[in-house]
Amino acid sequence: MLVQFPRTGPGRSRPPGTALRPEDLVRRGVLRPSEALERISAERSKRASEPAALSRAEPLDQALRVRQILAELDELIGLEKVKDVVREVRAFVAIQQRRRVVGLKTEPLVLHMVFRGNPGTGKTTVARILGRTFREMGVLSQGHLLEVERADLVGEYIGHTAQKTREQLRKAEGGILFIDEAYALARGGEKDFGKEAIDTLVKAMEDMKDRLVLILAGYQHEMARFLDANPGLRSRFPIHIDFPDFTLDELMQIAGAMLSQREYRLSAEAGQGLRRLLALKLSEGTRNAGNARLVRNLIEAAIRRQAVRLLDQPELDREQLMTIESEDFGER
Amino acid sequence: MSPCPVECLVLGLPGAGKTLFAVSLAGVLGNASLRIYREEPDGRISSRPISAAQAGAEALGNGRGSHGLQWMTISVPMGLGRARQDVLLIDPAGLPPGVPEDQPGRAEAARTLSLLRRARFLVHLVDASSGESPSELDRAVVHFASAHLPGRFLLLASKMDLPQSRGGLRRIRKTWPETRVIPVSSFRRKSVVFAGRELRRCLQACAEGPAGRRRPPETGSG
Repeated sequence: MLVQFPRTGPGRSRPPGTALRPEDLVRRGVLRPSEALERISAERSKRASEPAALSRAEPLDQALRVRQILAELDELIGLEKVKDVVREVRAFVAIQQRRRVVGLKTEPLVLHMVFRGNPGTGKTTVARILGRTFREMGVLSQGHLLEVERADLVGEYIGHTAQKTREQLRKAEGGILFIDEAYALARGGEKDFGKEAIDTLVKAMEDMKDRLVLILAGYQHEMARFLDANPGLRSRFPIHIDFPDFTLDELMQIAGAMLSQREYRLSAEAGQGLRRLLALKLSEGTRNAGNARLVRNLIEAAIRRQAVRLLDQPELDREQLMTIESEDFGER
Repeated sequence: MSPCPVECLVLGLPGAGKTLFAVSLAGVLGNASLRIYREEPDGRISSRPISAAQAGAEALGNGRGSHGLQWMTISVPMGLGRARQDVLLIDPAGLPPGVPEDQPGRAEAARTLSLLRRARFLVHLVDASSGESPSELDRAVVHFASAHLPGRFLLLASKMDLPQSRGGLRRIRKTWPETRVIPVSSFRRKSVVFAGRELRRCLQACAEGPAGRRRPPETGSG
């Protein structure tokens, strides 16, 4: 996990020469809330400029909408380190915006990222949450996610690649361009058109840095090799996030959440059966073993099998319609 | 549902009945199911769907005030032929009258003040059953709202279902003779409906004024 941001947080001291706000004095135990409120009121009466400054700061409803989106992130199972990094990014952006309001120097907001992890480990979901967060914070105008791969960027003849890549960049403007399996861009070597796509992307990262966030995603080792082979590219991505495979317990929690959303539940035997099945997949060590997509596929197959099992039964109660049995996972 | 909610801060001393009032208000305005977001003092955020009735029962069980920051978006009917207005109802930790002894308590008070500094609408509850005159803090809040949130402020005397609250209401009215005080009991639907109507009147007046700045008929501020 690599994040090149200054540490920020509510407990950090204010820059020299900036007076403490009455709220800060309450936090330090120097003022009672009523005294602080009188000062806030007096400040607002005196400083005609304050409403203007406030309107440039993060509005209250916007701040809470960002928190609501972050609550969705918190509700994702596992991904604790990913959540920490997203919070750091959010704090960094918010503090830079507040520094700008009071006329302090700000760090450039370069938010291009590299996501490394197996499929189904939450990369796209987190990218979507980031897009919405950045939109609410005013960093991106739309905050949408455009998911592309090599075939969407690389053309078939000279000049075609730049045209295709620029077209995708135009569609992604104001949001996030998410390039899945980004290392595929470099798979053909120097003479491949993929190199042209990379060059076009690098130029756009500079030209559109205020209007676009670029996320390169893919398997951990392939992404590492890809960035090692393109050192100029690595330095342009300040945020690198690893998405580890889910553990067995996390996969079971994901299964529980997926079933609950669909108003199904596992019988005790089915729960044990699913656990055994997932443990087996994990022990096989395939790249799809520790991911949420595998769980979804297993659940959806079990729901179909349950339907077949129940179809010929003349009377069914609510409990039977909701319950997945171990045989629905193909276990006898 | 309107795309851009108006935010409204619900304020009061700890135990003034803010949370119970907020969920009762949501219920009487036709929001049977709510999604309540909650930020704990340690920064963790959670959300959950809950019925207004269940949220009311939980708030009642909390006794002398809840910690942390809660918020929910409710939909306010604006009258026949008008679109409903979304209101972001923000329910922070109560403001204590003195300096809190513990750091988390001070941090929460600071955050509530910060929210008040930025509030667009304010509902302030004064506990009419307390047997005492409004506190210095209540006075400071009303003074702040009168000066900076004219027409966007409701002053409520809460817990009017309790027998001792009649005397409390008299004391509150005597403290702010020029401010309209709305007596409410979060248990009595009628009084909360009335407060909801006053909130709607404030919202309508602000929406009709130039850039939301027109001063509506005096409701809360004196």
